[in-house]
Amino acid sequence: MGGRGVNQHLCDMGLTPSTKVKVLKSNPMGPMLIEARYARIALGKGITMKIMVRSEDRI
Amino acid sequence: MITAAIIGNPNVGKTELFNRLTGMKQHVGNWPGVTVEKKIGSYSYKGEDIEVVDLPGTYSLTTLAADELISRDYIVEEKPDVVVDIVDATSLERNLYLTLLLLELEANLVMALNRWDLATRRGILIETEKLSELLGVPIVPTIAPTGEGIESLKELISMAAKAKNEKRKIVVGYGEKVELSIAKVKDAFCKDATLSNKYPPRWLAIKALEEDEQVLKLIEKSSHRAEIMAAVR
Repeated sequence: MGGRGVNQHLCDMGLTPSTKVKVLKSNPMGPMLIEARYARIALGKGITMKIMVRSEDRI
Repeated sequence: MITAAIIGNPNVGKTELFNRLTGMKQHVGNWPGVTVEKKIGSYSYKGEDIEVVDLPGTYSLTTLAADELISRDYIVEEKPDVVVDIVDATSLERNLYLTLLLLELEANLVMALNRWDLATRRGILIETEKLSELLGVPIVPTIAPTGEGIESLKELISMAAKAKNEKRKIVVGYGEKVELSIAKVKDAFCKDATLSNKYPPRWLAIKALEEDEQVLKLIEKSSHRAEIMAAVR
Protein backbone atom coordinates (compact mmCIF):
# COMPACT_ATOMS: atom_id res chain seq x y z
CA MET A 1 0.00 0.00 0.00
CA GLY A 2 3.05 2.19 -0.16
CA GLY A 3 4.46 4.30 -2.93
CA ARG A 4 6.91 3.04 -5.48
CA GLY A 5 9.94 3.57 -3.25
CA VAL A 6 8.50 1.57 -0.36
CA ASN A 7 7.38 -1.28 -2.60
CA GLN A 8 10.74 -1.41 -4.33
CA HIS A 9 12.60 -1.45 -1.04
CA LEU A 10 10.44 -4.24 0.41
CA CYS A 11 10.90 -6.32 -2.74
CA ASP A 12 14.65 -5.77 -2.60
CA MET A 13 14.66 -7.25 0.89
CA GLY A 14 12.78 -10.28 -0.34
CA LEU A 15 9.29 -9.20 0.68
CA THR A 16 7.58 -9.65 -2.65
CA PRO A 17 3.78 -10.05 -2.75
CA SER A 18 2.54 -13.36 -1.21
CA THR A 19 5.80 -14.03 0.63
CA LYS A 20 5.27 -16.02 3.82
CA VAL A 21 6.39 -14.12 6.87
CA LYS A 22 6.61 -14.97 10.55
CA VAL A 23 6.45 -12.28 13.20
CA LEU A 24 9.23 -12.93 15.70
CA LYS A 25 8.86 -9.83 17.81
CA SER A 26 6.35 -7.07 17.71
CA ASN A 27 6.28 -3.88 19.68
CA PRO A 28 3.02 -1.95 19.41
CA MET A 29 4.96 1.28 19.78
CA GLY A 30 7.60 0.66 17.20
CA PRO A 31 9.59 -1.76 15.14
CA MET A 32 8.79 -5.35 14.29
CA LEU A 33 11.11 -8.26 13.70
CA ILE A 34 9.99 -10.69 11.06
CA GLU A 35 11.38 -13.72 9.34
CA ALA A 36 11.00 -14.20 5.60
CA ARG A 37 12.91 -16.44 3.22
CA TYR A 38 15.15 -17.63 6.05
CA ALA A 39 16.23 -14.08 6.79
CA ARG A 40 15.33 -11.89 9.71
CA ILE A 41 14.26 -8.41 8.85
CA ALA A 42 13.54 -5.54 11.21
CA LEU A 43 10.93 -3.11 9.96
CA GLY A 44 9.94 0.26 11.36
CA LYS A 45 6.37 1.07 12.27
CA GLY A 46 5.98 3.43 9.33
CA ILE A 47 6.63 0.66 6.89
CA THR A 48 4.80 -2.17 8.70
CA MET A 49 1.63 -0.10 8.67
CA LYS A 50 1.75 -0.18 4.90
CA ILE A 51 1.89 -3.97 4.63
CA MET A 52 -1.30 -6.03 4.37
CA VAL A 53 -1.16 -9.66 5.47
CA ARG A 54 -3.43 -12.69 5.50
CA SER A 55 -3.17 -15.43 8.09
CA GLU A 56 -1.82 -18.62 6.60
CA ASP A 57 -4.77 -20.91 7.45
CA ARG A 58 -7.10 -18.70 5.44
CA ILE A 59 -5.19 -18.84 2.16
CA MET B 1 47.50 -4.33 -10.01
CA ILE B 2 44.11 -6.00 -9.77
CA THR B 3 41.15 -4.12 -8.34
CA ALA B 4 38.50 -6.16 -6.59
CA ALA B 5 35.31 -4.69 -5.13
CA ILE B 6 33.47 -6.44 -2.33
CA ILE B 7 29.70 -6.27 -2.27
CA GLY B 8 26.85 -8.07 -0.51
CA ASN B 9 23.67 -7.70 1.51
CA PRO B 10 24.02 -6.09 4.94
CA ASN B 11 25.06 -8.49 7.71
CA VAL B 12 26.54 -11.27 5.65
CA GLY B 13 30.01 -10.95 7.16
CA LYS B 14 31.26 -8.72 4.38
CA THR B 15 33.52 -6.54 6.50
CA GLU B 16 34.92 -9.51 8.38
CA LEU B 17 35.81 -11.14 5.09
CA PHE B 18 37.32 -7.88 3.89
CA ASN B 19 39.50 -7.78 7.00
CA ARG B 20 40.48 -11.40 6.47
CA LEU B 21 41.58 -10.64 2.92
CA THR B 22 43.47 -7.45 3.60
CA GLY B 23 44.69 -7.95 7.16
CA MET B 24 45.80 -4.68 8.67
CA LYS B 25 46.61 -3.04 5.36
CA GLN B 26 43.65 -0.76 4.88
CA HIS B 27 42.60 2.81 5.11
CA VAL B 28 39.24 4.40 5.69
CA GLY B 29 37.87 7.48 4.00
CA ASN B 30 34.58 8.73 2.66
CA TRP B 31 32.96 8.40 -0.71
CA PRO B 32 32.98 11.84 -2.32
CA GLY B 33 30.01 13.95 -1.34
CA VAL B 34 28.43 11.55 1.12
CA THR B 35 29.17 10.35 4.60
CA VAL B 36 29.31 6.72 3.65
CA GLU B 37 32.52 5.07 4.72
CA LYS B 38 34.94 4.01 2.00
CA LYS B 39 37.40 1.30 2.94
CA ILE B 40 40.29 0.30 0.75
CA GLY B 41 42.77 -2.41 1.54
CA SER B 42 45.27 -4.53 -0.26
CA TYR B 43 47.04 -7.86 -0.19
CA SER B 44 49.39 -9.68 -2.43
CA TYR B 45 48.82 -13.11 -3.87
CA LYS B 46 51.51 -15.03 -5.72
CA GLY B 47 53.52 -11.88 -6.28
CA GLU B 48 50.60 -9.82 -7.52
CA ASP B 49 49.10 -6.86 -5.70
CA ILE B 50 45.36 -6.79 -5.27
CA GLU B 51 43.52 -3.67 -4.17
CA VAL B 52 40.24 -4.37 -2.41
CA VAL B 53 37.41 -1.85 -2.13
CA ASP B 54 34.67 -2.52 0.42
CA LEU B 55 31.38 -1.31 -1.07
CA PRO B 56 28.42 -0.45 1.17
CA GLY B 57 26.18 -3.41 2.03
CA THR B 58 22.99 -3.24 0.01
CA TYR B 59 19.99 -5.35 -0.93
CA SER B 60 19.63 -3.75 -4.30
CA LEU B 61 21.22 -1.33 -6.76
CA THR B 62 18.61 1.36 -7.26
CA THR B 63 19.29 5.07 -7.38
CA LEU B 64 16.96 5.69 -4.43
CA ALA B 65 19.50 5.28 -1.62
CA ALA B 66 22.96 6.84 -1.33
CA ASP B 67 24.73 3.58 -0.44
CA GLU B 68 23.14 1.65 -3.29
CA LEU B 69 24.03 4.38 -5.75
CA ILE B 70 27.65 4.39 -4.58
CA SER B 71 27.97 0.66 -5.13
CA ARG B 72 26.33 0.84 -8.51
CA ASP B 73 28.31 3.88 -9.69
CA TYR B 74 31.51 2.25 -8.62
CA ILE B 75 30.83 -0.91 -10.58
CA VAL B 76 29.49 0.89 -13.64
CA GLU B 77 31.95 3.78 -13.81
CA GLU B 78 35.16 2.45 -12.27
CA LYS B 79 34.76 -1.06 -13.65
CA PRO B 80 36.78 -3.03 -11.08
CA ASP B 81 38.55 -6.10 -12.51
CA VAL B 82 36.61 -8.40 -10.22
CA VAL B 83 33.48 -7.98 -8.10
CA VAL B 84 33.32 -10.30 -5.11
CA ASP B 85 29.72 -11.01 -4.16
CA ILE B 86 29.48 -12.11 -0.54
CA VAL B 87 26.41 -14.27 -0.16
CA ASP B 88 24.90 -15.46 3.12
CA ALA B 89 24.65 -19.22 2.68
CA THR B 90 21.85 -19.36 5.26
CA SER B 91 19.53 -17.16 3.19
CA LEU B 92 20.46 -17.86 -0.39
CA GLU B 93 17.11 -16.93 -1.87
CA ARG B 94 17.20 -13.38 -0.63
CA ASN B 95 20.89 -12.87 -1.35
CA LEU B 96 20.76 -14.09 -4.93
CA TYR B 97 18.64 -11.12 -5.92
CA LEU B 98 21.64 -8.82 -5.66
CA THR B 99 23.70 -11.43 -7.51
CA LEU B 100 21.30 -11.30 -10.44
CA LEU B 101 21.45 -7.50 -10.48
CA LEU B 102 25.24 -7.74 -10.61
CA LEU B 103 25.09 -10.23 -13.46
CA GLU B 104 22.82 -7.82 -15.29
CA LEU B 105 25.48 -5.15 -14.82
CA GLU B 106 27.86 -7.62 -16.45
CA ALA B 107 30.26 -7.41 -13.54
CA ASN B 108 33.10 -9.92 -13.50
CA LEU B 109 31.75 -11.87 -10.52
CA VAL B 110 33.21 -14.23 -7.99
CA MET B 111 30.96 -15.51 -5.23
CA ALA B 112 31.84 -16.28 -1.63
CA LEU B 113 29.21 -18.40 0.12
CA ASN B 114 29.85 -17.08 3.57
CA ARG B 115 28.52 -18.40 6.89
CA TRP B 116 28.94 -21.83 5.36
CA ASP B 117 29.32 -23.41 8.83
CA LEU B 118 26.02 -21.93 10.03
CA ALA B 119 24.24 -23.14 6.93
CA THR B 120 25.61 -26.66 7.41
CA ARG B 121 24.55 -26.62 11.04
CA ARG B 122 21.04 -25.67 9.99
CA GLY B 123 20.96 -28.55 7.57
CA ILE B 124 21.21 -26.37 4.49
CA LEU B 125 23.18 -28.12 1.78
CA ILE B 126 24.19 -26.09 -1.24
CA GLU B 127 25.44 -27.74 -4.38
CA THR B 128 28.09 -25.14 -5.15
CA GLU B 129 29.16 -26.72 -8.42
CA LYS B 130 25.62 -26.77 -9.74
CA LEU B 131 24.99 -23.21 -8.57
CA SER B 132 28.23 -22.07 -10.15
CA GLU B 133 27.23 -23.68 -13.42
CA LEU B 134 23.74 -22.12 -13.37
CA LEU B 135 25.03 -18.62 -12.64
CA GLY B 136 28.23 -18.83 -14.64
CA VAL B 137 30.12 -17.58 -11.60
CA PRO B 138 33.00 -19.23 -9.72
CA ILE B 139 31.95 -19.97 -6.14
CA VAL B 140 33.81 -20.75 -2.94
CA PRO B 141 32.36 -21.52 0.50
CA THR B 142 33.87 -19.34 3.23
CA ILE B 143 33.75 -19.01 7.00
CA ALA B 144 34.92 -15.50 7.82
CA PRO B 145 35.54 -15.94 11.59
CA THR B 146 37.97 -18.83 11.05
CA GLY B 147 39.33 -17.69 7.72
CA GLU B 148 38.35 -20.89 6.01
CA GLY B 149 38.09 -20.56 2.24
CA ILE B 150 40.02 -17.27 2.14
CA GLU B 151 42.97 -18.74 0.26
CA SER B 152 40.65 -20.29 -2.33
CA LEU B 153 38.84 -16.99 -2.63
CA LYS B 154 42.12 -15.22 -3.32
CA GLU B 155 42.89 -17.76 -6.00
CA LEU B 156 39.46 -17.32 -7.62
CA ILE B 157 39.87 -13.53 -7.60
CA SER B 158 43.21 -13.74 -9.39
CA MET B 159 41.88 -16.27 -11.87
CA ALA B 160 38.76 -14.21 -12.59
CA ALA B 161 40.87 -11.10 -13.16
CA LYS B 162 42.77 -12.93 -15.86
CA ALA B 163 39.65 -14.31 -17.51
CA LYS B 164 38.06 -10.88 -17.52
CA ASN B 165 36.97 -10.77 -21.10
CA GLU B 166 35.26 -14.12 -21.25
CA LYS B 167 31.68 -13.73 -22.31
CA ARG B 168 29.06 -14.44 -19.68
CA LYS B 169 26.45 -16.89 -20.77
CA ILE B 170 23.85 -16.12 -18.15
CA VAL B 171 21.07 -13.74 -19.07
CA VAL B 172 18.21 -13.15 -16.70
CA GLY B 173 15.05 -13.53 -18.75
CA TYR B 174 11.89 -11.48 -18.18
CA GLY B 175 9.39 -13.37 -20.31
CA GLU B 176 8.49 -12.98 -23.95
CA LYS B 177 6.54 -9.73 -23.76
CA VAL B 178 9.11 -7.78 -21.76
CA GLU B 179 11.97 -9.26 -23.76
CA LEU B 180 10.47 -7.78 -26.96
CA SER B 181 10.55 -4.32 -25.39
CA ILE B 182 14.05 -4.87 -24.03
CA ALA B 183 15.31 -5.90 -27.47
CA LYS B 184 13.74 -2.84 -29.08
CA VAL B 185 15.25 -0.42 -26.56
CA LYS B 186 18.57 -2.22 -26.61
CA ASP B 187 18.79 -1.81 -30.39
CA ALA B 188 18.14 1.89 -30.02
CA PHE B 189 20.87 2.18 -27.38
CA CYS B 190 23.35 0.32 -29.60
CA LYS B 191 23.11 3.13 -32.16
CA ASP B 192 24.83 5.38 -29.62
CA ALA B 193 28.32 3.92 -29.64
CA THR B 194 29.60 6.03 -26.73
CA LEU B 195 26.83 4.88 -24.43
CA SER B 196 26.77 1.24 -25.45
CA ASN B 197 30.54 0.92 -25.16
CA LYS B 198 30.56 2.35 -21.70
CA TYR B 199 27.52 0.55 -20.28
CA PRO B 200 26.07 -2.89 -20.98
CA PRO B 201 23.31 -2.17 -23.56
CA ARG B 202 20.92 -4.75 -22.14
CA TRP B 203 21.30 -3.25 -18.68
CA LEU B 204 20.65 0.24 -20.11
CA ALA B 205 17.51 -1.05 -21.80
CA ILE B 206 16.14 -2.70 -18.66
CA LYS B 207 16.87 0.36 -16.54
CA ALA B 208 15.32 2.69 -19.11
CA LEU B 209 12.14 0.61 -19.03
CA GLU B 210 12.19 0.77 -15.23
CA GLU B 211 12.41 4.55 -15.59
CA ASP B 212 15.64 4.60 -13.64
CA GLU B 213 16.51 8.24 -12.98
CA GLN B 214 20.18 7.96 -13.80
CA VAL B 215 19.70 6.09 -17.04
CA LEU B 216 17.02 8.56 -18.10
CA LYS B 217 19.59 11.29 -17.53
CA LEU B 218 22.08 9.42 -19.71
CA ILE B 219 19.49 9.26 -22.46
CA GLU B 220 18.96 13.02 -22.18
CA LYS B 221 22.61 13.54 -23.04
CA SER B 222 22.67 10.99 -25.85
CA SER B 223 23.01 12.00 -29.47
CA HIS B 224 20.31 9.41 -30.25
CA ARG B 225 17.95 10.70 -27.57
CA ALA B 226 14.83 10.80 -29.74
CA GLU B 227 15.25 7.26 -31.07
CA ILE B 228 15.89 5.78 -27.65
CA MET B 229 12.93 7.54 -26.07
CA ALA B 230 10.69 6.44 -28.91
CA ALA B 231 11.70 2.83 -28.26
CA VAL B 232 11.10 3.17 -24.51
CA ARG B 233 7.53 4.40 -25.02
